[in-house]
Amino acid sequence: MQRDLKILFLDKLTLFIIFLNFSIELFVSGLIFARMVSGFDYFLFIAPGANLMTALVVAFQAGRELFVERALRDLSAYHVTLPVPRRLYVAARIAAGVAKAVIASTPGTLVVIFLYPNLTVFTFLGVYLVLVLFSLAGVAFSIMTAVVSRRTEVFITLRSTIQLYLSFLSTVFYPLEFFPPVLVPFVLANPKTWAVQTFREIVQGNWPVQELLLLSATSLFLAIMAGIIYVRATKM
Amino acid sequence: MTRGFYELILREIRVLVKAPWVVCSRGLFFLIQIFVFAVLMDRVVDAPNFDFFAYYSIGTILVTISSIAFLIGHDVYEEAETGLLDYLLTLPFSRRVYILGRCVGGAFRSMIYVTPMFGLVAVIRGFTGAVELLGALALLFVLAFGITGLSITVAVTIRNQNRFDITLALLELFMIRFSTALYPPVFMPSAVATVSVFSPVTLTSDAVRAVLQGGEASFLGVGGLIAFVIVFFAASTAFYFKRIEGGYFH
Repeated sequence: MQRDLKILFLDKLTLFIIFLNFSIELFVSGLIFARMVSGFDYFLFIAPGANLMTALVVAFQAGRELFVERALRDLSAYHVTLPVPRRLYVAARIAAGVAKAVIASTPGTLVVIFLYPNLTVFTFLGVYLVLVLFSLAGVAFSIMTAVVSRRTEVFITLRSTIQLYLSFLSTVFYPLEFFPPVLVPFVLANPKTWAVQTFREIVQGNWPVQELLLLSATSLFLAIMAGIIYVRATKM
Repeated sequence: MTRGFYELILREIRVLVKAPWVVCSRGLFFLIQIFVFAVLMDRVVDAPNFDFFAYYSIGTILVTISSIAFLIGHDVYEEAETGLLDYLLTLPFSRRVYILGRCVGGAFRSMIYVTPMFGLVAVIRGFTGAVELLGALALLFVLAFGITGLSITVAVTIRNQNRFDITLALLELFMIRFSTALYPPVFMPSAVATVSVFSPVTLTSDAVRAVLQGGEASFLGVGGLIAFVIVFFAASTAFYFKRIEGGYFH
């Protein structure tokens, strides 16, 4: 974990650029779209989603690093010779990916939290819980993608397709009632839908237990799947 | 010179054909943008006298061509890292032809990607005038050529891969989000509207919309777009030369 976090902090400019990216998404695109919508406060509607997108981008870096180590730099063989049990190694890589996503998206998270009035300690705890769970799902997706891909273009394509699904077939940009019935099952199966819904509720002072449980179940399931696939891939 | 130049363009197109996965994913991205994002946002947006779908459908073309033109930077970066650049430089054509060929090839590659998508939007929106369609395609080619130069400039000036990826993504985001490709200036905060005037994507977006709707592109806009192309072609040539002659591996 320490190694992966060191890699993150080595390049501070990248951390700044990630925040800049979030700011453009929210304070340029979000603000402009909000001016086109009058029925509800679209700016506040989209703000949690913009933050989760940042977390997702960083979470997918975990898979990218893994892919580079495995397919391009042939570092995996060296890593598995280290005196660490395979399961612990895999769990640490997943945990490091989540930690990186949470750390890199923290400036954006704070900006979003402070957009809402009536903040409590529970708001912070709740939002960070959502961020951890969603990053776990993102890291799991990215690790599975990295492990099953042998060629760069396959990896990039799978990664983009998953990101497309997570971003556009979720309630990040539009409320659930705007989706045609045929797309609703895909939206409901999307962890980002539950993450963004839970985030919105928590910053408004509510605790949506059902959504939180659904997000936890999905993220843990994905993480276990990614762990199993990754452990199997480390066996020669 | 002509043979080498032609071969370089063909090579860029072959790279595209050999990467069907990438073509599929970009195609899927475009379809989701049009048939999911634009359709659903059209239901959400309720600004009077504004057809979001109509506006966004043309914007998606600009976004797609920009993001594809940026891809050449990744190729150039990877070639330098893996040592393939050294081989390419031993081929029998001058450095100048090599760089020009890469830029034009990259722009052609982008056009091959985007033309079917452009056709789909033309059918949906009912644009049928051949002259207008060709004019719009020509403007898109000029934009792709300029972005190719910009992307190569970034690829040969940044050495850290993570930083390169993120810088390129940020540049792409900056050029698109601070432009009139996705939203008209009337909805922009004044600061964004001021900056957006200088974006080559804005210049192309305004010109393409004007041409497709039977009007005339502004002389200033097209002039600005051509200036963008010249500046970044010159910059990419200068930096590429410096990189090549300085050597990559020490």
